[in-house]
Amino acid sequence: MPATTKSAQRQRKYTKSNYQEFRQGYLFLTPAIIILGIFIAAAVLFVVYLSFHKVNLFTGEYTFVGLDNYTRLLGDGMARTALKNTLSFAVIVVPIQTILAMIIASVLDSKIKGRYLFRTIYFLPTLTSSSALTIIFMFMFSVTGPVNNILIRMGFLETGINFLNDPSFALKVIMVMNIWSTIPQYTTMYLASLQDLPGSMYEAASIDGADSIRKFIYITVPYLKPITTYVLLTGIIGTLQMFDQAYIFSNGSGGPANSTLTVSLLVYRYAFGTQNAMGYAAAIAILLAVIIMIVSFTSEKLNASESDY
Amino acid sequence: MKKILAWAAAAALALSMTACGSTSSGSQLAGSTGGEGGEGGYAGTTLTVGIWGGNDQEAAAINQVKADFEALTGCTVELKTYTDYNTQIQADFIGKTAPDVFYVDGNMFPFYSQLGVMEPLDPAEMEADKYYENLIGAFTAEDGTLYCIPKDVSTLALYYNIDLLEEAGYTADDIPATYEEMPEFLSALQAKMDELYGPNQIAAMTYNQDLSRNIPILTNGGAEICDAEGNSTLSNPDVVANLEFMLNFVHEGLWKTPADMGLGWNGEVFGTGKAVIMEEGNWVYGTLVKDYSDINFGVKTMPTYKGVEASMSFTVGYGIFSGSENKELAKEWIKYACGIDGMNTWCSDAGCLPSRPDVAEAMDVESDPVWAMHSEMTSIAIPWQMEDTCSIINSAYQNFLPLAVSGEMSAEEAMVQADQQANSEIANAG
Repeated sequence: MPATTKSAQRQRKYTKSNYQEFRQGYLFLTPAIIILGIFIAAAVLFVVYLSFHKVNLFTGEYTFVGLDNYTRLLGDGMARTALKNTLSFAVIVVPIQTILAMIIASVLDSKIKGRYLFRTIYFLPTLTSSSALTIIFMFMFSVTGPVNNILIRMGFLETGINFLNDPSFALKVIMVMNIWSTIPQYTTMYLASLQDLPGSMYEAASIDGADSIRKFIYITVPYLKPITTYVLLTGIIGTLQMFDQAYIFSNGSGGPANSTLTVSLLVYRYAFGTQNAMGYAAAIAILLAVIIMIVSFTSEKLNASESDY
Repeated sequence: MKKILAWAAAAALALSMTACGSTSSGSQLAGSTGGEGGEGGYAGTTLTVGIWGGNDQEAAAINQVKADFEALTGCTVELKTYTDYNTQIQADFIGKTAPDVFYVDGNMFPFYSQLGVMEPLDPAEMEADKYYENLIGAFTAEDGTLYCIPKDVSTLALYYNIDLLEEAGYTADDIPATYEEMPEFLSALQAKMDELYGPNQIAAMTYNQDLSRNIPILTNGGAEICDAEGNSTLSNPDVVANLEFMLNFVHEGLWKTPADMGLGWNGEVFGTGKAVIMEEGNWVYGTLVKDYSDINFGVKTMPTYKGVEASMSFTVGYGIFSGSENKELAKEWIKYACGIDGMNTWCSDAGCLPSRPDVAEAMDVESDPVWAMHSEMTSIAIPWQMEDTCSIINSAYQNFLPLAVSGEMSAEEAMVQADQQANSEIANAG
């Protein structure tokens, strides 16, 4: 005990070389701090500042309007539609992608033949750029595309469904696309974690008479919980910020009938269209950030609250 | 997308136009205007020109104009090519880093002209009276100030597939000259096509869900889609009545969008022989000749509606950045690129109609039936331009029209929704 206090006391008296080390440390940190400060901290603060102003960037006029942009947001039907679309997108996509990724990972982790080949094939979608992917999906789901052809040949449909131009289908196509393209990445993460799972646990469970479904539920799922937290968080953030796929899909309009309008797309339209409403766009962006924070925080708490195995 | 495709396709025209315009453009460049700029008068100066990318022919055409201008003035021209033009150039305006002189799309002009980013031009100095009056009008702000000089124009005309018509037992003369007679003709034609090729394989006629194409019908009889303050009035009864007339074609299965046929744009549908009739701009001409050379086609004037002749015209001009340090040189660029020699080079190689009658004559536009038809359409064309809220109203229209097409809503209900959305966006704007 005395030894530790002594060493602590000694620690507090910094030597000359200590100070030099600190200086060096801060010197090395400076470039990163400056860059992060300008591009993240200052940018975030500027967005907050913008959201309280009516902004004309062309003339550089900033008029303080107080909470005007936020109160306007309450009565904006389009913002409500965008929020509804975005939330329903997240609610459907995140659980499906998480569960499917976990199942695929545990299948690939088992000793089936050709698992290395499957791992490679399953990873391919992640390597495709999302814009290329969107265009491929738009082709697949077009009226004369393969999906409709298959459904017609199998006798489910008389004529092709216009998936891209029907408000009740458009967002669902993007959901399918998003799930399909994000699963591999999460599968890989789960798979990496499963490599460390001792096989003896499964053996012990087998001796106790557990079948493979039980082994999955009582061993695999709890073991993967830390990864699940991460997958849920990135999944929620990714889906709530979804922009590129909706943008390409609807040619930037969020159509048909606003069915693919997401919050990010709405921000983009107000900021960069002919609306010239950067202040209002900033207010929407802040609302989105707050929502993401709340949802992520809640889901993390929910996931962590269950007792560990 | 349609716009981009249109522009991409526009450049493809080069082949055909070099064929009919090469003699004049080649000889005229030699005796260039030169004049006040003087040889080498701007040596050492760099002029930046903001453009959007086209295909190879369009790039070759602008590079030729650039090279000729450099030889004439001794300056260096730097082409700044934007990919998402109207988004990126706005950022450059805000950052005060915009090019000295840049393209301005006619329908974006009302928006840009009120931002104070363009230098006013003197009509006398720029010889505005040499250009078609309606095009100069398209680039004149509400207060009467001229900000841009039109560099070219494109118009819509009706294209028909001669072979498919013949198979159905028709000739071009059977295509009605009015929209009122169209449904009867198209349903007979569609029935024939379904009989010959199977149902839904070939469309009698294509259309687009876009104000830039639908305005001739929608605004017929003075119907207003937008009021003086720029608010959307799509749901007014006159517009709705016209829209119902238009939707009738769709509900009868006589008009199909390119997406309905599983393709990208009219030119592709027509070029692959999946449509008998389409209404398209002159940019499709080069594509048809070059990429779909097996299609045997002809052109006609646009049909009339309630006795009114109408087409659409799309124009692009050059404007000068108000913060430019090279305004004099920028003016010289406009004078050259929109002058007889420069425009001849540009229009011949890139494939668009000249924006001034003297160049149209020099290019001998009349000698080619397709070009002659598009040129003829110029006089009856409605310029694609509304108030500064044009793109907001158009996206609201495109957003809700599918609901009226699918029958989920009546034309009026859909347009009321479109109005609501557009006007709430306009109210929230700048």
